[in-house]
Amino acid sequence: VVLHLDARELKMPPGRSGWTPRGIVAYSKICTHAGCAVALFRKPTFPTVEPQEALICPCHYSTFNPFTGGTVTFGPAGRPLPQLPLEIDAAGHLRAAGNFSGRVGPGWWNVREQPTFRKRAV
Amino acid sequence: MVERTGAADIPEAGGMSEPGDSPRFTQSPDPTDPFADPVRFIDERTASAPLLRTAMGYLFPEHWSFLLGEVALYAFIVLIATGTYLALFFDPSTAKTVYHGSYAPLDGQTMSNAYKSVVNISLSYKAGLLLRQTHHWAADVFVASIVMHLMRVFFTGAFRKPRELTWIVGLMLLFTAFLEGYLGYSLVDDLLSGMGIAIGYGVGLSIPIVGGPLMLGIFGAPFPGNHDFWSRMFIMHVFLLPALLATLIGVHLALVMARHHTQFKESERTTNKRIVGLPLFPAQTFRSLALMLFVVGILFLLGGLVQINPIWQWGPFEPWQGTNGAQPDWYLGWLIGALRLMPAFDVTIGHYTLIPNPFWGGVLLPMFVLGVLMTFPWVERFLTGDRAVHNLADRPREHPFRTAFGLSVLTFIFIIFSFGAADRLYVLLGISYQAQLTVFRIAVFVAPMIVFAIAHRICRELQIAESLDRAHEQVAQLNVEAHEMQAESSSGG
Repeated sequence: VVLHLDARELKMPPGRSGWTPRGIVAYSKICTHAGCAVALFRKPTFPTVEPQEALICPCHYSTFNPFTGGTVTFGPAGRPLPQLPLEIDAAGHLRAAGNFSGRVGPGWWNVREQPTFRKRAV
Repeated sequence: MVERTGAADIPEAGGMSEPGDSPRFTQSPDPTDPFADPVRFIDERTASAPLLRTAMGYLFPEHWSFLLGEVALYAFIVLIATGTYLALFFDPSTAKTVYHGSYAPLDGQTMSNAYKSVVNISLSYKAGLLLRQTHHWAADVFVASIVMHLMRVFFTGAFRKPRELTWIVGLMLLFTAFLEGYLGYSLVDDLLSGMGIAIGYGVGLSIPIVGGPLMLGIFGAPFPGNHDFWSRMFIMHVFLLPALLATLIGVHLALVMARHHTQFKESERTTNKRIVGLPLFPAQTFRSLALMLFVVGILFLLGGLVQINPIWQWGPFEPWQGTNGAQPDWYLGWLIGALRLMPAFDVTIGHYTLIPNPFWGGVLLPMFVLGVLMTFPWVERFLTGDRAVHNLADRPREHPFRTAFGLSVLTFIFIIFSFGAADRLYVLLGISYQAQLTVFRIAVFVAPMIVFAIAHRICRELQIAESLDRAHEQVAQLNVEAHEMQAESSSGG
């Protein structure tokens, strides 16, 4: 899922600073809890209880914050949504700049939160 | 030398010619003519008379609650009949096709052949929608009647010696029915059921050590799997699991007949060693046939009049799609509730996940509930020290602990079940999902304890009230006798 967010509000984890050209972010759409599509995008209508836009899985309402690297803000998911680093190439095309930040899909025995990619980046 | 063979006389018939039989059977004009004396003709070829005579004399308890299991049996027959019709038209293929059928809103959409064939069953084939909806309703009623039947058996202590095996086979039936129902609505490949398969895959994957290889083996490839998976689901749903269910039903009924029903002590005639009831033939046969016609009639009325799972409205499934307010069929509501209610808790070592979250609600909870129910006959025996044979059904008040424990387990599951519909409750009541989560997480532990205390108290009070009533009656009886004696002595003097 690709979102265009306000670049000033992004608070990406260390090592992901160049992943969001012009505030465009990309995440895996498969929930890290049980594998449903994270198909809901919450646009706050009442900022007191819904402070920011969020990605939500309709199956068990795991809620992910797209401003902070897909971290879990609510619900049963145990891992953040894997993020896809983006770049804009010389011709102006939006491209993936590398692999996902973590394993895509629901967890299983031995699933790793961060693959070697991120460690190199750090 | 050891004699290894045995010898026995071949009986001429099963028992129609035994002395004491009515002359009608022994004096038939021509025993080889199947039309002159069909009963004798069949008996001479099957030797079935003793078996039939025993079966026809089998005594059924009169109480209505003993018919709940029969409702399940008749729902199962409806499932087989309607399912056979559906299987004639269903195409278990995930190959993509473009829909150009009678339902305009889906026109031009790419979908699997499986989904397309169910849309066509629903909207194009004769009686297709009636039979599909009846099939779906029958599945819901099948599981519901098994659960009701289970509650009757539990709360009357009918699982005790000598019926523990019947109880275990019944539980296997129930959990097989869960799986059968889940596979049935998942085969449709609509958006709603596709989300269900995704969750099933995630839950299976979460099983420690074996989860990954197991799910890859079943699905043939990472989710959504390949064509093999659909073939496997189809053969499971239409052949293996129905055959297993039919076998378990057969074993269950054979065990019931072997050890007989329990029954309530409705009169002085009924004792732990003496059965009072309606014989299978003619009384129970007609009662049961009437029930069958009633169940079939109700299921077809539901299928014809009450819409269920209008899959053409959900659209085809793709792994990147999902919809809000998704709910499974009622009997899996407790599992989605458990997945939603469970706090975000994975067992991890460093960056490695050992046990992912869906394991707790999706695997551990149902296994735990099944384990508690399976072992309960022995747990109760251990707690009470009661090893006797029990042919009389308890009234729930007579065992306050069992009744209170059963009700608190039901409360526990019902609260988890209710939270599975928390998103719907939000739409209905306007209470935020987050607030409900907090309340339900507390209630799921507190409410069963409260229910236990209240139920235990009510059972005790009812017992006390009854013994008081009996005491009052005895006192009244004594008063009457005293008056009579007084009257006698005064008239005599």
